Amino acid sequence: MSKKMIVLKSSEGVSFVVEEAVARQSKIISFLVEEFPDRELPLTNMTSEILRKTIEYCKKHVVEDDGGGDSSSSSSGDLKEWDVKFVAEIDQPRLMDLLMAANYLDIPSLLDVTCQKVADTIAACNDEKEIRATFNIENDFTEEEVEAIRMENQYPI
Amino acid sequence: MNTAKDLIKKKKIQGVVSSTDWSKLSPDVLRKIFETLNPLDSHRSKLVCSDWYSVWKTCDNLPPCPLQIIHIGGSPILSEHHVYQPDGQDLHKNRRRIIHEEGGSSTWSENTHYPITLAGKSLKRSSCMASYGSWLLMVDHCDIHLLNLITLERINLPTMNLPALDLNNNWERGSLSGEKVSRDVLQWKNAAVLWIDDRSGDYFVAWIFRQTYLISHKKGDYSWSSFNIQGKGSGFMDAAYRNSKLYVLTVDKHINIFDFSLDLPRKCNLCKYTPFRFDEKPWESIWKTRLAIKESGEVLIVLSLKEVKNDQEKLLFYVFKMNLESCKWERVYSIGDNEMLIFGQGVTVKAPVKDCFGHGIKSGSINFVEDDVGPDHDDDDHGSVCGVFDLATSRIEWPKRTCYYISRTQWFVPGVVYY
Repeated sequence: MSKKMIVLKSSEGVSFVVEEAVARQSKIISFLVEEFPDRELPLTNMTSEILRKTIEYCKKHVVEDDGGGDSSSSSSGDLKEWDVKFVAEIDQPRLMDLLMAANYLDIPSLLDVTCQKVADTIAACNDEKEIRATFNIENDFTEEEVEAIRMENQYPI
Repeated sequence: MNTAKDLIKKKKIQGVVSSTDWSKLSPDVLRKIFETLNPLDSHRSKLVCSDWYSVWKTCDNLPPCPLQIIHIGGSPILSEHHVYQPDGQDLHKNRRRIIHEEGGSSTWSENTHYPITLAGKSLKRSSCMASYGSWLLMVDHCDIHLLNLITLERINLPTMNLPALDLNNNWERGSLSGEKVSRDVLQWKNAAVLWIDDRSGDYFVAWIFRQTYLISHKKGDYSWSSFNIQGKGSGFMDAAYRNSKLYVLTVDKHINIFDFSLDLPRKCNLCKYTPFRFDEKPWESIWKTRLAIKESGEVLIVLSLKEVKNDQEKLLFYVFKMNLESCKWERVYSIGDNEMLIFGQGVTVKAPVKDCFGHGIKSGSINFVEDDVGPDHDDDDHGSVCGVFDLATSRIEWPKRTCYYISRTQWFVPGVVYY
Protein backbone atom coordinates (compact mmCIF):
# COMPACT_ATOMS: atom_id res chain seq x y z
CA MET A 1 0.00 0.00 0.00
CA SER A 2 1.44 3.32 -0.95
CA LYS A 3 1.58 5.93 1.68
CA LYS A 4 -0.75 8.86 1.49
CA MET A 5 1.03 12.01 0.38
CA ILE A 6 0.10 15.64 0.80
CA VAL A 7 1.45 18.81 -0.74
CA LEU A 8 2.69 21.81 1.26
CA LYS A 9 3.42 25.03 -0.56
CA SER A 10 5.90 27.62 0.70
CA SER A 11 5.60 31.39 0.46
CA GLU A 12 7.67 31.30 -2.74
CA GLY A 13 5.19 28.87 -4.21
CA VAL A 14 7.49 25.86 -4.03
CA SER A 15 5.61 22.62 -3.48
CA PHE A 16 6.82 19.98 -1.08
CA VAL A 17 5.33 16.51 -1.28
CA VAL A 18 5.41 14.79 2.09
CA GLU A 19 3.89 11.72 3.64
CA GLU A 20 0.77 12.58 5.52
CA ALA A 21 2.08 10.89 8.67
CA VAL A 22 5.11 13.17 8.58
CA ALA A 23 3.08 16.33 8.12
CA ARG A 24 0.52 15.35 10.70
CA GLN A 25 2.98 16.06 13.48
CA SER A 26 1.80 19.57 12.98
CA LYS A 27 -1.51 19.83 14.74
CA ILE A 28 -2.59 22.54 12.30
CA ILE A 29 -1.82 20.43 9.24
CA SER A 30 -3.44 17.46 10.89
CA PHE A 31 -6.57 19.51 11.27
CA LEU A 32 -6.39 20.92 7.77
CA VAL A 33 -6.00 17.54 6.03
CA GLU A 34 -9.07 16.32 7.76
CA GLU A 35 -11.06 19.35 6.80
CA PHE A 36 -9.70 19.71 3.27
CA PRO A 37 -8.49 16.36 1.98
CA ASP A 38 -6.77 16.20 -1.42
CA ARG A 39 -5.84 19.83 -1.37
CA GLU A 40 -2.43 21.32 -1.35
CA LEU A 41 -1.89 23.46 1.70
CA PRO A 42 -0.44 26.91 1.15
CA LEU A 43 1.84 28.05 3.95
CA THR A 44 2.21 31.63 2.87
CA ASN A 45 4.22 32.78 5.85
CA MET A 46 6.94 30.15 5.57
CA THR A 47 9.89 30.35 3.25
CA SER A 48 10.97 27.24 1.36
CA GLU A 49 14.11 27.08 3.44
CA ILE A 50 12.25 27.01 6.73
CA LEU A 51 9.60 24.67 5.39
CA ARG A 52 12.32 22.30 4.21
CA LYS A 53 13.97 22.43 7.63
CA THR A 54 10.66 21.80 9.36
CA ILE A 55 9.91 18.83 7.12
CA GLU A 56 13.39 17.48 7.75
CA TYR A 57 12.64 17.57 11.47
CA CYS A 58 9.23 15.96 11.08
CA LYS A 59 10.59 13.19 8.88
CA LYS A 60 13.09 12.28 11.55
CA HIS A 61 10.48 12.36 14.26
CA VAL A 62 7.68 10.55 12.51
CA VAL A 63 6.28 7.63 14.45
CA GLU A 64 5.54 4.85 12.01
CA ASP A 65 2.61 2.64 12.58
CA ASP A 66 3.72 -0.71 11.20
CA GLY A 67 0.86 -2.85 12.29
CA GLY A 68 2.25 -4.16 15.55
CA GLY A 69 2.34 -0.84 17.31
CA ASP A 70 4.03 2.49 17.34
CA SER A 71 7.73 2.43 16.84
CA SER A 72 9.76 5.48 16.22
CA SER A 73 12.13 5.37 13.30
CA SER A 74 15.02 6.01 15.70
CA SER A 75 15.73 5.22 19.31
CA SER A 76 15.07 8.06 21.71
CA GLY A 77 18.74 8.48 22.53
CA ASP A 78 19.66 8.79 18.87
CA LEU A 79 16.81 11.20 18.36
CA LYS A 80 18.02 13.43 21.16
CA GLU A 81 21.46 13.51 19.69
CA TRP A 82 20.03 14.25 16.31
CA ASP A 83 17.96 17.11 17.76
CA VAL A 84 21.01 18.62 19.37
CA LYS A 85 22.84 18.55 16.07
CA PHE A 86 19.80 19.83 14.25
CA VAL A 87 19.44 22.97 16.36
CA ALA A 88 23.19 23.48 16.63
CA GLU A 89 23.42 23.89 12.88
CA ILE A 90 20.79 26.60 12.76
CA ASP A 91 21.97 30.18 12.80
CA GLN A 92 20.27 32.88 14.78
CA PRO A 93 17.88 34.44 12.22
CA ARG A 94 16.76 31.07 10.96
CA LEU A 95 16.31 29.85 14.50
CA MET A 96 13.72 32.54 15.03
CA ASP A 97 11.94 31.61 11.79
CA LEU A 98 11.94 27.99 12.83
CA LEU A 99 10.60 28.90 16.25
CA MET A 100 7.80 30.82 14.63
CA ALA A 101 7.14 27.95 12.23
CA ALA A 102 6.98 25.43 15.06
CA ASN A 103 4.66 27.75 16.90
CA TYR A 104 2.48 28.47 13.89
CA LEU A 105 2.24 24.88 12.71
CA ASP A 106 1.89 23.71 16.30
CA ILE A 107 4.62 21.09 16.42
CA PRO A 108 5.25 20.83 20.18
CA SER A 109 8.49 18.86 20.10
CA LEU A 110 10.10 21.18 17.55
CA LEU A 111 8.98 24.16 19.60
CA ASP A 112 10.57 22.57 22.66
CA VAL A 113 13.97 22.03 21.09
CA THR A 114 14.10 25.45 19.46
CA CYS A 115 13.00 27.21 22.66
CA GLN A 116 15.61 25.25 24.57
CA LYS A 117 18.27 26.44 22.16
CA VAL A 118 17.26 30.07 22.75
CA ALA A 119 17.16 29.48 26.51
CA ASP A 120 20.64 27.96 26.39
CA THR A 121 21.91 30.91 24.39
CA ILE A 122 20.45 33.31 26.95
CA ALA A 123 21.91 31.28 29.81
CA ALA A 124 25.35 31.51 28.24
CA CYS A 125 25.23 35.31 28.44
CA ASN A 126 26.66 37.03 31.49
CA ASP A 127 24.31 39.96 31.63
CA GLU A 128 21.45 41.61 29.83
CA LYS A 129 23.85 43.58 27.64
CA GLU A 130 25.33 40.41 26.30
CA ILE A 131 21.86 39.03 25.63
CA ARG A 132 20.99 42.18 23.68
CA ALA A 133 24.19 41.92 21.68
CA THR A 134 23.66 38.23 20.96
CA PHE A 135 20.13 38.68 19.73
CA ASN A 136 20.70 42.09 18.24
CA ILE A 137 18.01 43.70 20.34
CA GLU A 138 17.98 47.40 20.93
CA ASN A 139 17.79 48.57 24.52
CA ASP A 140 14.71 50.77 24.73
CA PHE A 141 14.94 51.24 28.47
CA THR A 142 16.37 54.28 30.15
CA GLU A 143 18.96 53.71 32.82
CA GLU A 144 16.40 54.64 35.46
CA GLU A 145 13.95 52.10 34.11
CA VAL A 146 16.52 49.33 34.17
CA GLU A 147 17.36 50.29 37.73
CA ALA A 148 13.71 50.29 38.72
CA ILE A 149 13.15 46.84 37.23
CA ARG A 150 16.30 45.57 38.83
CA MET A 151 14.94 46.78 42.16
CA GLU A 152 12.01 44.43 41.83
CA ASN A 153 14.54 41.74 42.62
CA GLN A 154 15.06 42.98 46.08
CA TYR A 155 13.52 41.60 49.19
CA PRO A 156 9.96 42.59 49.83
CA ILE A 157 10.09 45.05 52.67
CA MET B 1 21.54 48.24 -13.29
CA ASN B 2 18.77 47.26 -11.00
CA THR B 3 15.95 45.47 -12.63
CA ALA B 4 12.57 45.44 -11.00
CA LYS B 5 13.18 41.81 -10.14
CA ASP B 6 16.41 42.68 -8.36
CA LEU B 7 14.64 45.37 -6.43
CA ILE B 8 11.94 43.00 -5.34
CA LYS B 9 14.58 40.48 -4.37
CA LYS B 10 16.42 43.12 -2.37
CA LYS B 11 13.25 44.16 -0.68
CA LYS B 12 12.47 40.61 0.17
CA ILE B 13 15.84 40.12 1.78
CA GLN B 14 15.37 43.28 3.80
CA GLY B 15 11.97 42.03 4.77
CA VAL B 16 13.47 38.79 5.96
CA VAL B 17 16.12 40.62 7.96
CA SER B 18 13.63 42.80 9.78
CA SER B 19 11.41 39.83 10.47
CA THR B 20 14.11 38.38 12.70
CA ASP B 21 13.63 41.00 15.33
CA TRP B 22 14.00 39.02 18.52
CA SER B 23 12.28 41.68 20.53
CA LYS B 24 9.13 40.98 18.55
CA LEU B 25 9.12 37.25 19.12
CA SER B 26 5.61 35.96 19.60
CA PRO B 27 4.67 36.36 23.27
CA ASP B 28 3.65 32.71 23.55
CA VAL B 29 7.04 31.54 22.36
CA LEU B 30 8.93 34.06 24.43
CA ARG B 31 6.98 33.11 27.52
CA LYS B 32 7.85 29.50 26.92
CA ILE B 33 11.52 30.39 26.65
CA PHE B 34 11.46 32.45 29.84
CA GLU B 35 9.76 29.64 31.65
CA THR B 36 12.60 27.26 30.86
CA LEU B 37 15.25 29.64 32.18
CA ASN B 38 16.66 29.36 35.67
CA PRO B 39 15.71 32.25 37.97
CA LEU B 40 18.89 34.23 37.54
CA ASP B 41 18.82 34.08 33.76
CA SER B 42 15.14 34.85 33.85
CA HIS B 43 15.73 37.99 35.91
CA ARG B 44 18.47 38.96 33.52
CA SER B 45 16.43 38.58 30.39
CA LYS B 46 13.58 40.72 31.62
CA LEU B 47 16.01 43.65 31.47
CA VAL B 48 16.73 43.17 27.78
CA CYS B 49 13.98 45.35 26.36
CA SER B 50 10.47 46.57 27.13
CA ASP B 51 8.83 43.96 24.90
CA TRP B 52 10.61 41.13 26.67
CA TYR B 53 9.85 42.69 30.02
CA SER B 54 6.13 42.94 29.37
CA VAL B 55 6.04 39.31 28.25
CA TRP B 56 8.21 38.26 31.20
CA LYS B 57 5.66 39.68 33.61
CA THR B 58 2.99 37.39 32.19
CA CYS B 59 4.98 34.20 32.82
CA ASP B 60 3.29 31.57 34.91
CA ASN B 61 6.31 30.64 36.93
CA LEU B 62 7.93 33.94 37.71
CA PRO B 63 11.07 33.26 39.66
CA PRO B 64 10.71 34.11 43.31
CA CYS B 65 12.06 37.53 44.00
CA PRO B 66 13.91 37.19 47.24
CA LEU B 67 17.10 35.61 46.06
CA GLN B 68 19.08 33.72 48.59
CA ILE B 69 22.74 33.21 49.04
CA ILE B 70 23.91 29.96 50.42
CA HIS B 71 26.99 29.62 52.53
CA ILE B 72 28.69 26.32 52.45
CA GLY B 73 31.74 25.34 54.30
CA GLY B 74 33.09 23.77 57.43
CA SER B 75 32.89 27.10 59.18
CA PRO B 76 31.61 30.54 58.48
CA ILE B 77 34.95 31.29 56.98
CA LEU B 78 34.48 31.36 53.29
CA SER B 79 37.77 30.04 52.13
CA GLU B 80 39.27 28.42 55.15
CA HIS B 81 38.63 24.83 54.25
CA HIS B 82 38.72 22.82 51.08
CA VAL B 83 40.33 25.70 49.31
CA TYR B 84 40.20 25.02 45.69
CA GLN B 85 41.34 27.42 43.08
CA PRO B 86 41.08 25.97 39.62
CA ASP B 87 43.11 28.54 37.79
CA GLY B 88 43.59 31.39 40.15
CA GLN B 89 40.55 33.20 38.93
CA ASP B 90 39.41 36.34 40.54
CA LEU B 91 35.86 36.01 41.63
CA HIS B 92 35.01 39.24 39.92
CA LYS B 93 35.83 37.76 36.58
CA ASN B 94 33.87 34.63 37.10
CA ARG B 95 31.28 35.23 39.68
CA ARG B 96 29.42 32.10 38.91
CA ARG B 97 32.16 30.14 40.44
CA ILE B 98 31.66 31.39 43.91
CA ILE B 99 29.89 28.50 45.47
CA HIS B 100 30.01 25.40 43.49
CA GLU B 101 31.24 24.22 40.17
CA GLU B 102 28.85 22.30 38.04
CA GLY B 103 29.46 18.66 38.59
CA GLY B 104 26.23 17.09 39.63
CA SER B 105 28.13 14.74 41.86
CA SER B 106 26.58 13.71 45.10
CA THR B 107 29.82 14.22 46.96
CA TRP B 108 29.32 17.80 47.70
CA SER B 109 32.48 18.83 49.45
CA GLU B 110 34.74 17.52 46.74
CA ASN B 111 33.09 19.76 44.26
CA THR B 112 32.83 22.80 46.40
CA HIS B 113 35.01 25.64 45.34
CA TYR B 114 35.68 28.57 47.54
CA PRO B 115 36.70 31.89 46.21
CA ILE B 116 40.03 33.10 47.40
CA THR B 117 39.67 36.63 46.26
CA LEU B 118 36.70 38.85 45.80
CA ALA B 119 37.19 42.06 43.87
CA GLY B 120 40.91 41.65 44.21
CA LYS B 121 40.76 41.33 47.98
CA SER B 122 41.88 38.22 49.71
CA LEU B 123 39.14 36.35 51.46
CA LYS B 124 41.48 34.15 53.38
CA ARG B 125 40.78 35.74 56.70
CA SER B 126 37.27 36.84 55.99
CA SER B 127 34.11 35.36 57.32
CA CYS B 128 30.70 35.81 55.93
CA MET B 129 28.36 36.18 58.88
CA ALA B 130 25.01 36.94 57.34
CA SER B 131 23.42 37.82 54.06
CA TYR B 132 20.45 39.74 52.82
CA GLY B 133 19.55 39.80 49.16
CA SER B 134 22.85 40.02 47.36
CA TRP B 135 24.58 41.63 50.33
CA LEU B 136 26.98 39.84 52.62
CA LEU B 137 28.12 40.84 56.07
CA MET B 138 31.85 40.22 55.95
CA VAL B 139 34.21 40.21 58.87
CA ASP B 140 37.96 40.20 58.69
CA HIS B 141 39.21 40.64 62.24
CA CYS B 142 38.41 44.23 63.09
CA ASP B 143 37.43 45.07 59.56
CA ILE B 144 33.69 44.72 59.16
CA HIS B 145 31.96 45.59 55.96
CA LEU B 146 28.96 44.92 53.80
CA LEU B 147 29.66 43.62 50.35
CA ASN B 148 27.30 43.36 47.43
CA LEU B 149 28.13 40.19 45.54
CA ILE B 150 26.65 41.45 42.33
CA THR B 151 27.83 45.01 42.12
CA LEU B 152 30.81 44.50 44.44
CA GLU B 153 29.81 47.70 46.18
CA ARG B 154 31.28 47.91 49.64
CA ILE B 155 30.10 49.66 52.79
CA ASN B 156 32.59 49.85 55.61
CA LEU B 157 31.27 49.55 59.12
CA PRO B 158 33.02 50.87 62.22
CA THR B 159 35.57 48.56 63.75
CA MET B 160 34.40 46.72 66.76
CA ASN B 161 35.77 45.23 69.89
CA LEU B 162 33.67 43.07 72.07
CA PRO B 163 32.49 44.62 75.30
CA ALA B 164 34.49 43.42 78.24
CA LEU B 165 31.73 43.73 80.74
CA ASP B 166 28.02 43.54 80.64
CA LEU B 167 26.65 47.00 80.56
CA ASN B 168 23.80 48.05 82.67
CA ASN B 169 22.10 50.31 80.23
CA ASN B 170 19.68 49.01 77.74
CA TRP B 171 21.61 50.43 74.86
CA GLU B 172 24.91 52.08 75.09
CA ARG B 173 26.56 53.98 72.37
CA GLY B 174 30.23 54.58 72.13
CA SER B 175 33.31 52.72 71.18
CA LEU B 176 33.43 49.40 72.87
CA SER B 177 36.60 48.28 74.42
CA GLY B 178 37.76 44.86 75.39
CA GLU B 179 38.64 41.75 73.47
CA LYS B 180 38.99 41.86 69.76
CA VAL B 181 36.79 39.83 67.53
CA SER B 182 38.84 36.73 67.23
CA ARG B 183 38.62 33.84 64.90
CA ASP B 184 37.45 31.85 67.87
CA VAL B 185 34.48 34.14 68.33
CA LEU B 186 33.59 33.81 64.70
CA GLN B 187 33.72 30.07 64.78
CA TRP B 188 31.15 30.15 67.49
CA LYS B 189 27.66 29.68 66.27
CA ASN B 190 26.49 33.22 66.28
CA ALA B 191 23.27 34.67 65.12
CA ALA B 192 23.92 37.64 62.92
CA VAL B 193 21.28 39.77 61.35
CA LEU B 194 21.68 41.90 58.26
CA TRP B 195 19.06 44.08 56.67
CA ILE B 196 19.66 46.53 53.88
CA ASP B 197 17.42 48.60 51.69
CA ASP B 198 18.97 48.93 48.25
CA ARG B 199 16.87 51.94 47.43
CA SER B 200 17.69 54.18 50.36
CA GLY B 201 20.94 52.54 51.33
CA ASP B 202 19.71 52.16 54.90
CA TYR B 203 21.08 49.17 56.68
CA PHE B 204 20.98 47.46 60.03
CA VAL B 205 23.32 44.88 61.48
CA ALA B 206 22.93 43.01 64.75
CA TRP B 207 25.02 40.31 66.19
CA ILE B 208 24.91 37.86 69.03
CA PHE B 209 28.22 36.61 70.34
CA ARG B 210 28.41 33.60 72.56
CA GLN B 211 24.84 34.16 73.61
CA THR B 212 26.20 36.91 75.83
CA TYR B 213 26.60 40.00 73.73
CA LEU B 214 24.13 41.60 71.44
CA ILE B 215 25.49 44.49 69.47
CA SER B 216 23.99 46.45 66.67
CA HIS B 217 24.84 49.09 64.14
CA LYS B 218 22.65 51.08 61.84
CA LYS B 219 23.33 53.52 59.08
CA GLY B 220 24.21 56.90 60.48
CA ASP B 221 25.59 55.53 63.75
CA TYR B 222 29.25 56.27 64.26
CA SER B 223 29.85 53.15 66.28
CA TRP B 224 28.30 49.95 67.52
CA SER B 225 25.75 49.77 70.27
CA SER B 226 25.75 47.10 72.86
CA PHE B 227 22.59 45.77 74.29
CA ASN B 228 21.79 44.26 77.60
CA ILE B 229 18.49 43.12 78.96
CA GLN B 230 17.79 44.96 82.15
CA GLY B 231 18.00 42.98 85.30
CA LYS B 232 17.98 39.64 83.57
CA GLY B 233 20.94 37.42 83.33
CA SER B 234 19.57 35.38 80.49
CA GLY B 235 21.57 35.18 77.31
CA PHE B 236 20.56 35.76 73.74
CA MET B 237 19.50 32.96 71.51
CA ASP B 238 18.38 34.44 68.25
CA ALA B 239 17.57 37.74 66.64
CA ALA B 240 15.59 38.84 63.63
CA TYR B 241 14.90 42.18 62.00
CA ARG B 242 11.90 43.28 60.05
CA ASN B 243 10.12 46.59 59.48
CA SER B 244 12.55 48.55 61.64
CA LYS B 245 12.05 46.23 64.56
CA LEU B 246 14.59 43.99 66.16
CA TYR B 247 13.17 40.83 67.65
CA VAL B 248 15.30 39.10 70.23
CA LEU B 249 14.77 35.64 71.62
CA THR B 250 16.51 35.07 74.92
CA VAL B 251 17.76 31.77 76.25
CA ASP B 252 14.88 31.65 78.70
CA LYS B 253 12.56 32.04 75.68
CA HIS B 254 11.38 35.59 76.25
CA ILE B 255 10.73 37.65 73.18
CA ASN B 256 11.82 41.27 73.28
CA ILE B 257 11.01 43.69 70.49
CA PHE B 258 12.85 46.93 69.90
CA ASP B 259 11.77 49.66 67.56
CA PHE B 260 14.63 51.13 65.56
CA SER B 261 12.63 53.53 63.46
CA LEU B 262 13.65 56.45 65.67
CA ASP B 263 17.11 57.60 66.48
CA LEU B 264 17.28 55.69 69.72
CA PRO B 265 15.95 52.15 69.89
CA ARG B 266 12.89 51.82 72.04
CA LYS B 267 11.39 48.76 73.58
CA CYS B 268 8.04 47.95 72.03
CA ASN B 269 5.20 47.12 74.29
CA LEU B 270 2.56 46.95 71.63
CA CYS B 271 2.40 43.24 71.43
CA LYS B 272 3.28 41.33 74.53
CA TYR B 273 4.52 37.87 73.85
CA THR B 274 4.46 35.41 76.65
CA PRO B 275 7.61 33.31 77.03
CA PHE B 276 7.67 30.49 74.54
CA ARG B 277 6.97 27.11 76.06
CA PHE B 278 7.25 23.73 74.53
CA ASP B 279 7.34 20.58 76.55
CA GLU B 280 9.41 17.99 74.80
CA LYS B 281 7.93 14.54 74.70
CA PRO B 282 10.31 11.69 75.51
CA TRP B 283 10.61 10.88 71.82
CA GLU B 284 11.32 14.44 70.76
CA SER B 285 14.65 16.17 71.01
CA ILE B 286 15.07 19.76 70.00
CA TRP B 287 18.07 20.59 67.90
CA LYS B 288 17.61 24.27 67.25
CA THR B 289 15.19 27.05 68.11
CA ARG B 290 14.91 30.02 65.81
CA LEU B 291 12.78 33.09 65.36
CA ALA B 292 10.94 33.96 62.20
CA ILE B 293 9.01 37.15 61.65
CA LYS B 294 6.13 37.14 59.23
CA GLU B 295 5.41 39.95 56.83
CA SER B 296 2.67 41.10 59.17
CA GLY B 297 5.16 41.36 62.02
CA GLU B 298 3.79 38.27 63.72
CA VAL B 299 6.41 36.26 65.57
CA LEU B 300 6.88 32.58 64.85
CA ILE B 301 9.10 30.17 66.72
CA VAL B 302 10.56 27.43 64.59
CA LEU B 303 11.96 24.29 66.13
CA SER B 304 14.16 21.83 64.38
CA LEU B 305 13.83 18.52 66.16
CA LYS B 306 14.24 14.84 65.86
CA GLU B 307 11.54 12.36 66.65
CA VAL B 308 12.50 8.82 67.60
CA LYS B 309 9.65 6.36 67.58
CA ASN B 310 9.95 2.60 67.28
CA ASP B 311 13.64 2.98 66.52
CA GLN B 312 12.73 5.15 63.60
CA GLU B 313 14.24 8.59 63.44
CA LYS B 314 12.42 11.41 61.81
CA LEU B 315 13.58 14.96 61.26
CA LEU B 316 10.84 17.46 61.87
CA PHE B 317 10.20 21.15 62.07
CA TYR B 318 7.53 22.58 64.34
CA VAL B 319 6.24 26.10 63.87
CA PHE B 320 4.51 27.87 66.73
CA LYS B 321 2.63 31.09 67.00
CA MET B 322 1.03 32.70 69.96
CA ASN B 323 -2.72 32.67 70.23
CA LEU B 324 -3.45 36.30 71.04
CA GLU B 325 -6.49 35.49 73.12
CA SER B 326 -5.19 32.70 75.28
CA CYS B 327 -1.59 33.94 75.11
CA LYS B 328 -0.55 30.34 74.61
CA TRP B 329 1.91 29.17 71.97
CA GLU B 330 0.23 26.83 69.55
CA ARG B 331 1.70 24.69 66.86
CA VAL B 332 0.61 25.67 63.35
CA TYR B 333 0.78 23.77 60.10
CA SER B 334 0.56 26.69 57.75
CA ILE B 335 2.29 30.05 57.66
CA GLY B 336 0.10 31.73 55.08
CA ASP B 337 -0.54 31.37 51.41
CA ASN B 338 2.46 33.08 49.97
CA GLU B 339 5.17 32.89 52.56
CA MET B 340 7.85 30.34 53.19
CA LEU B 341 10.65 29.99 55.70
CA ILE B 342 14.35 29.71 55.37
CA PHE B 343 15.52 28.26 58.62
CA GLY B 344 17.69 30.74 60.47
CA GLN B 345 16.88 33.59 58.15
CA GLY B 346 14.66 35.29 60.72
CA VAL B 347 12.02 36.48 58.31
CA THR B 348 9.55 34.70 56.11
CA VAL B 349 9.98 35.26 52.40
CA LYS B 350 7.42 35.51 49.66
CA ALA B 351 7.02 32.35 47.68
CA PRO B 352 4.69 31.09 44.98
CA VAL B 353 2.02 28.57 45.87
CA LYS B 354 3.44 26.11 43.38
CA ASP B 355 7.02 24.96 43.28
CA CYS B 356 7.92 25.76 39.71
CA PHE B 357 11.52 24.70 39.66
CA GLY B 358 11.46 21.62 41.82
CA HIS B 359 13.66 23.23 44.42
CA GLY B 360 11.12 23.55 47.16
CA ILE B 361 10.59 27.26 46.63
CA LYS B 362 6.93 27.35 47.49
CA SER B 363 4.70 28.61 50.24
CA GLY B 364 4.43 26.55 53.38
CA SER B 365 7.87 25.04 53.09
CA ILE B 366 10.93 25.40 55.27
CA ASN B 367 14.22 25.41 53.47
CA PHE B 368 17.22 24.37 55.48
CA VAL B 369 20.76 23.11 55.19
CA GLU B 370 22.12 19.94 56.71
CA ASP B 371 23.37 21.60 59.83
CA ASP B 372 19.93 22.92 60.71
CA VAL B 373 18.78 19.42 61.50
CA GLY B 374 20.27 16.88 63.84
CA PRO B 375 22.44 14.13 62.45
CA ASP B 376 20.18 11.66 60.76
CA HIS B 377 21.57 8.19 60.45
CA ASP B 378 18.66 6.73 58.61
CA ASP B 379 18.87 9.01 55.69
CA ASP B 380 22.48 9.92 55.37
CA ASP B 381 22.78 9.29 51.68
CA HIS B 382 20.42 11.94 50.43
CA GLY B 383 23.36 13.47 48.62
CA SER B 384 22.21 17.01 49.01
CA VAL B 385 23.15 19.72 51.46
CA CYS B 386 19.83 21.48 51.31
CA GLY B 387 16.49 20.08 52.29
CA VAL B 388 12.93 21.22 52.07
CA PHE B 389 10.40 20.49 54.77
CA ASP B 390 6.76 20.62 53.81
CA LEU B 391 4.76 21.99 56.73
CA ALA B 392 1.49 20.49 55.60
CA THR B 393 2.77 16.96 55.10
CA SER B 394 5.75 16.97 57.52
CA ARG B 395 7.86 15.42 54.82
CA ILE B 396 11.40 16.30 53.91
CA GLU B 397 12.77 16.31 50.44
CA TRP B 398 16.38 16.69 49.50
CA PRO B 399 16.29 18.23 46.06
CA LYS B 400 19.18 16.77 44.17
CA ARG B 401 19.26 19.44 41.58
CA THR B 402 20.28 22.02 44.11
CA CYS B 403 23.89 21.30 43.34
CA TYR B 404 23.45 22.07 39.72
CA TYR B 405 21.43 25.05 40.62
CA ILE B 406 24.04 26.70 42.72
CA SER B 407 26.64 26.37 40.05
CA ARG B 408 24.42 28.03 37.54
CA THR B 409 23.33 30.91 39.65
CA GLN B 410 25.65 31.49 42.59
CA TRP B 411 22.73 32.71 44.64
CA PHE B 412 19.15 31.84 45.24
CA VAL B 413 19.38 28.59 46.96
CA PRO B 414 17.52 27.63 50.05
CA GLY B 415 19.48 27.92 53.23
CA VAL B 416 21.49 30.64 54.81
CA VAL B 417 23.22 28.92 57.63
CA TYR B 418 26.82 27.96 58.07
CA TYR B 419 27.92 24.58 59.10
